Amino acid sequence: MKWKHLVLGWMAITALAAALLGEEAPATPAAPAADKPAGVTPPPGVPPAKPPQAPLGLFLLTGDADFTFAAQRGSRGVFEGAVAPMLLWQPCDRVLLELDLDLSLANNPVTGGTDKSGTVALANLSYIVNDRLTVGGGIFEMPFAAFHSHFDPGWINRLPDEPLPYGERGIAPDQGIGFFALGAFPIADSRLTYNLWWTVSPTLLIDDPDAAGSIDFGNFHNFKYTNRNSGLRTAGGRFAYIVCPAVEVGYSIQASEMNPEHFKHVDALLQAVDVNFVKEFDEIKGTVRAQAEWLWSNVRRATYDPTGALGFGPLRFDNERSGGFGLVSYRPTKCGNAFLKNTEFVIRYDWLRIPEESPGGGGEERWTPGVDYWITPSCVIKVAYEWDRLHGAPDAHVLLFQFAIGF
Amino acid sequence: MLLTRTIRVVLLFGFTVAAVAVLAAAGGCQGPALMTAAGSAGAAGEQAVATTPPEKSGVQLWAETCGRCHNLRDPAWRSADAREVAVHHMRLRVPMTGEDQRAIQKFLRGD
Repeated sequence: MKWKHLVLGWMAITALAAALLGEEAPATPAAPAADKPAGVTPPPGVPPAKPPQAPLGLFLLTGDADFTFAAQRGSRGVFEGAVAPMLLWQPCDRVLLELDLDLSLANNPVTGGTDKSGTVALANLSYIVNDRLTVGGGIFEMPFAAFHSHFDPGWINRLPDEPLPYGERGIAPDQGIGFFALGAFPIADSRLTYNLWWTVSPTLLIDDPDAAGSIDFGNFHNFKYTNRNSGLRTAGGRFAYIVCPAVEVGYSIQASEMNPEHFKHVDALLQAVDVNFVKEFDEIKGTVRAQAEWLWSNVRRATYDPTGALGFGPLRFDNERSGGFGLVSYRPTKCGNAFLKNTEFVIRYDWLRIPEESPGGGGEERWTPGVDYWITPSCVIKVAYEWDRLHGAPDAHVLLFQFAIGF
Repeated sequence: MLLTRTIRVVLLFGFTVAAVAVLAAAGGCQGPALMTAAGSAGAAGEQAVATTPPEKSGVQLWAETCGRCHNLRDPAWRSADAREVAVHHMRLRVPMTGEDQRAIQKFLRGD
């Protein structure tokens, strides 16, 4: 039995259970005053009553922006500005439309020119079926492992860049086009959450002498590839257990069937485990955050450039890749000093292992200590130094500065 | 190949169980408060809004659910309508139950 069938079966059982067990969510969530939970302290300045909903529903313009400077010895610095405005439209209590654009501009130290980028990061519509199940479709963020769905925006990520498994040579999907279902079940004080998705498959790169064997997860922006991979040939899910408010443990799996042009069908299986922890301790007068993820991908063996026409084949190798990161941060949130209270100390170790014999292959590992200063809860200045060791290539240490804001 | 996968799964399972045990032992699961909004907001102009209620309430769910990933912002920073849409949006990012969503929205409305 193929992995894909197992994943699909697992997903179907979970979605069915959610549909059957979920209670109907009331259209108007307001509860009588008598049900007011003990201990609730209305925040200062918050209006006491919900105003009547506008005829067209509710709109919210939100998003984030960041400005990053990277300085590397022996090369010109790179300055990048990025803004991601997001429009949310809630026409009624159960429906939400998300539209998010990612726009960025950076100088290219090699060509001396400018790199511009603009993509639709989110464009999806979702519907709350009941308290345990929400369904939707469109372009959406793939909650494979926790980083993209939990910590991705610059004002949330504790360091200026993404961990290696999510970078250019990464092994984790970030966005997908297709359908999704998600929800949560209460288990006493803990929660069991699930995300399921059916999407167009990513593309296996077969003719790039520097990246053959890698998976292009952003392929759906190119309709040539989307047509080629037509049909929802990728299925996946993430299941997380929020053990207690401070600890979340997740497991993700995704099975894909990829159909590169003039190439055999190739299956890919991605898996990940993640653990997140955050707690404020009186003993050390501060808040500790810890995140750890381990991801790995397995692409079925194939022969790349079988005729040798592309100059790097025929090449056949075990296409197993893995990566991960561990991050710990400490912020003295209970310290009396206002400056220290808003300062956060971070360290991250991340790594990526790609088969040496594959095009563009070789491992990479980084140590990145950094310091953040929080101007407000959603506005931060970060400084970090990255010791970047590339196997079989010169080290690429880099000094990073970033200003990030969520709005 | 199959043996390698099996070993990997066993190692992963062990790693996960060990990590949860260490975090729980470190006090992660003791006490209801994840963090206080005062500690998270920190900067001048931000006001302390969260306390530790005797039972799980909207304010506690708000602090726990939102504070797990990012700093807590003063709820008054957005309008009541904007807060409602934002919580709906966050239900898609980090799945939460309908009851939790309503409790958080109720707290943010000041009910």
